[in-house]
Amino acid sequence: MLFSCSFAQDCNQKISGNLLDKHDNSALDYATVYIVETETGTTSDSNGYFEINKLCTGKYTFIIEHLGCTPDTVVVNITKNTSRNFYLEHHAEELAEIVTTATKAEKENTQTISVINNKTLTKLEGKDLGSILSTISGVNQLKTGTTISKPIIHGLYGDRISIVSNGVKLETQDWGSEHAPEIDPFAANTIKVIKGVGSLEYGTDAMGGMVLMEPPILKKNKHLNASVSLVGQTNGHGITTSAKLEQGFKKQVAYFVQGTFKYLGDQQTPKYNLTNTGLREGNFSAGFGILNKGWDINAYYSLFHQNLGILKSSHIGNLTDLQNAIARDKPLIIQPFTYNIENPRQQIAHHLAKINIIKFFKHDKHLDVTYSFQLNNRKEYDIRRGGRSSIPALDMNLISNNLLASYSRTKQFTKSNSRLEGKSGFNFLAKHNSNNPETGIRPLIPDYYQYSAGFFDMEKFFIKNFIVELGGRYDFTRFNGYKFDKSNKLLKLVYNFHTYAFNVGGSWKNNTDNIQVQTNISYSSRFPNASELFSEGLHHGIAALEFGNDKLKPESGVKWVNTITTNYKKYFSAEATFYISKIHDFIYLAPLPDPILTIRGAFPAFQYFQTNARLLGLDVTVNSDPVKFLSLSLRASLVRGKNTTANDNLIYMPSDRISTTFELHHDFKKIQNVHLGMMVQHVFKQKKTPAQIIDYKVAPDTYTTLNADAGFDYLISAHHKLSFSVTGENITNAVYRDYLNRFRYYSDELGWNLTFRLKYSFL
Amino acid sequence: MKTTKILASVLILATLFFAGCKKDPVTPPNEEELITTMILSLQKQGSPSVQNFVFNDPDGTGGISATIDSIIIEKAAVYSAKITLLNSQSTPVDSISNEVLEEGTDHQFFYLSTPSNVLSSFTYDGENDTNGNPIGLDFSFATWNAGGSGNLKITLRHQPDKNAVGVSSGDIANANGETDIEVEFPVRLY
Repeated sequence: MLFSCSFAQDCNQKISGNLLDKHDNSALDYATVYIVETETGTTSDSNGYFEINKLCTGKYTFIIEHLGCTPDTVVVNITKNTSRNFYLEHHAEELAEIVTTATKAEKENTQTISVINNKTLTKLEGKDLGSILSTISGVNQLKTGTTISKPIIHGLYGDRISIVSNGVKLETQDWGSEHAPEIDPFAANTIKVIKGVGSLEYGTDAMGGMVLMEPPILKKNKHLNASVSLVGQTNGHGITTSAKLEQGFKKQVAYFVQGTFKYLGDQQTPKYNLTNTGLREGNFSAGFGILNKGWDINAYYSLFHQNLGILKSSHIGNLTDLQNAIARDKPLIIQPFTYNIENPRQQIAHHLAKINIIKFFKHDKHLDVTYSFQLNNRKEYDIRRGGRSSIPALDMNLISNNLLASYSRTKQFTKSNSRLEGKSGFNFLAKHNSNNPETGIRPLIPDYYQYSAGFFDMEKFFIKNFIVELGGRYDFTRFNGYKFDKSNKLLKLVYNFHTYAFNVGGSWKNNTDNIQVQTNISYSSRFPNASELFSEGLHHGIAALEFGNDKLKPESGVKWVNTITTNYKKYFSAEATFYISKIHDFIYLAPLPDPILTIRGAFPAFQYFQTNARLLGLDVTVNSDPVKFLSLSLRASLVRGKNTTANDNLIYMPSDRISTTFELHHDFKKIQNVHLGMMVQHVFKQKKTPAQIIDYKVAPDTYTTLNADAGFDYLISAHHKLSFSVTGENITNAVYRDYLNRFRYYSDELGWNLTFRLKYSFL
Repeated sequence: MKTTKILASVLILATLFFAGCKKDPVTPPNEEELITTMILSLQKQGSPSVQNFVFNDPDGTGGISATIDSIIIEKAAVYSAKITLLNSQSTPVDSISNEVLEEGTDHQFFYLSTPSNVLSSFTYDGENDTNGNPIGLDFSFATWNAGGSGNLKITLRHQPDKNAVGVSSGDIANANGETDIEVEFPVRLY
């Protein structure tokens, strides 16, 4: 779980040289040089000169890309300081390629971005997105039991976070806390978290942050990569397998296919079995790309399919049941381990298909058009009467059509050695949510149609050590809801929402590149979602009635994020982020004064209201490699959320936490990346809980967990690699509950778990 | 010229895009499992007349508040009781009691009087489930000789553990399962 890359050899080598046109030896300015192994890169200067420092001895794969050139891949063996020129095929009239995603340094931003690179992702294979993201300081997870996890960024979650997969904003059905985003982390090569409004091309509503899941770029040159992963875990006796094949051809055509399969039985706490917490997952994705005469065309499809069990004991009928459940120190229903999944359970499918067309023009300009289609189906099965358990209690289809077009341009000012990058575009979105009328249950979310049109512009100016960023977006949304009232009369509810986002930021770094300061102020706004407007019903897990509020207006927030990053040679690096955000008309669930009498007894009732809120927090990450075989790191985060109108704390705010890791590592000739590490995480009790919202059980106590991992890569030959690792989680088998798990009323968190990972890669 | 062309194509594209989504007719939900009404029919032993006391929430959870009758019956008497559950939203009105009866092994009623002496000697009558355990749609009880007032709580548990200690004789403590109904009638004895 360490973020620093580790190399044991002499790591003070430098490669430098010039990037030149194959035909006339002219300099290729501002070309990208990217090293696959280290996932770092640089850009050539106006004379085509580049240099990369602090490389260890070894073989590296360089990818050189320049606008209007065919990208090239070259393997270089670095044993000493190396000088080398790279030549690219330049076709001024046949402009091609360059989509700078992973290649561009994250530092070229005024917003704070945390990256989980492929190496770290490999160590976390088999985990869900929420768990993977929570390895970043300032990111937590809101869980419902063991299988449902939603990411929280800087104290906000759900619709206040945008998840963008492969350039497409995910349109999901994760309205409630018990609905996790429908995505397979295996499909990503890197995952980035922007702790700010994010890229305005995807919307105005990322008040908490944005998660970017990026698949590997389809390299359109001749290559063949394949990998197979096998992951086994002791807790839940689970297995996850994933395989991937990527191939490119000479004629600049490439494709990939990837699949994941996960099979998990009941999981266990240190003391008992969690009945009905099994999971099945089958995911598939494939892509195809072609690069020709200044056109780059990519098609992509992914399917996420999941069937997950929900802790049987969490399904309760009324407040008396809940009070009984809380009074017990363990769940009511504890049965022996099984792989079977019974009701209550969720069955989710998410299809995403997209086509992306990029047309390159002369002088660093390109047009990028993406059309995407998403189909989300969510079926929830309950324990029902009258033989209806096989009929879903909830069955909804959400269809989204999204068209995103942008025009990017880069203007170089050779005199001042500066450049201006701009991107403007528009976005159309049409969504339709429909309920299967055969469920025999009043739908939680009514049918609706939503149409949005948005326009955006983003400008970034680079001069010397400074970056200045400016952006804006406006969206108009028409929302037509179709809801049946209590007497089954159809009500058509029409809303017109106007939402805006703005973003101003600056970044400065010193000449030696070891201090960087980033500051960014963003304004974002979000209109209430269908659940906040219309939801109506009983939440079985928490014995509460929840009502939407059709009078809600959009909420808007201003967030100011400041980050200072510093590093001293290879030995030390640190990053601190401080943020404050004020949200006007913050939509939240507030208790209604009187309980509501139903045939199941009286229930506490909650309704969505608006208030003003303020969040502030601090994230700190420190990494140190005091000697070359040892890495130490420390991560800490705190966040304070306040309902400023009611002068009360906000609910579900992550408590303060700190974690430290310690890792020994060494590279031998054939056996590389040999590592042995430990992580201690300390999570404090959340003492700042709201006074005005009833909680049936006080926030759980402070706890400490201990994880450990060990592993190595065996290089079979130049192209074949075998990786093996073992990770132990909660190895002391600590019994604890977490404030951010809504099932803390019913059960403890998971007991110890050993995960074995075996991966074969062919490069 | 160029800008006009681009704008025109954007507009055409948008129109096509939005026109592509045809509206489907929306079907109203049919809440089959809803229990809107509970009728408690009481008959004093030896008397031919039947009195009905009703818990009624015709629009289900939320909306208009539920109404509940007070049970006003004679002291120092023995009553037979019958529970009828209805879903008044479906036409014709659906009897949920039949569903409970059909799935007898998965259901059991429990009765609780507070204070405990106002109503006592609760006894399961009527049909048992296929395992010979009580369901409790029919029952009987005795009213306190001295009269007084209190509450009668009627609970229906779904998937209770009928074999647990005391459950078949009407003790809810070990029954577990999930509460489908919990209605508390005010009681006055005269």
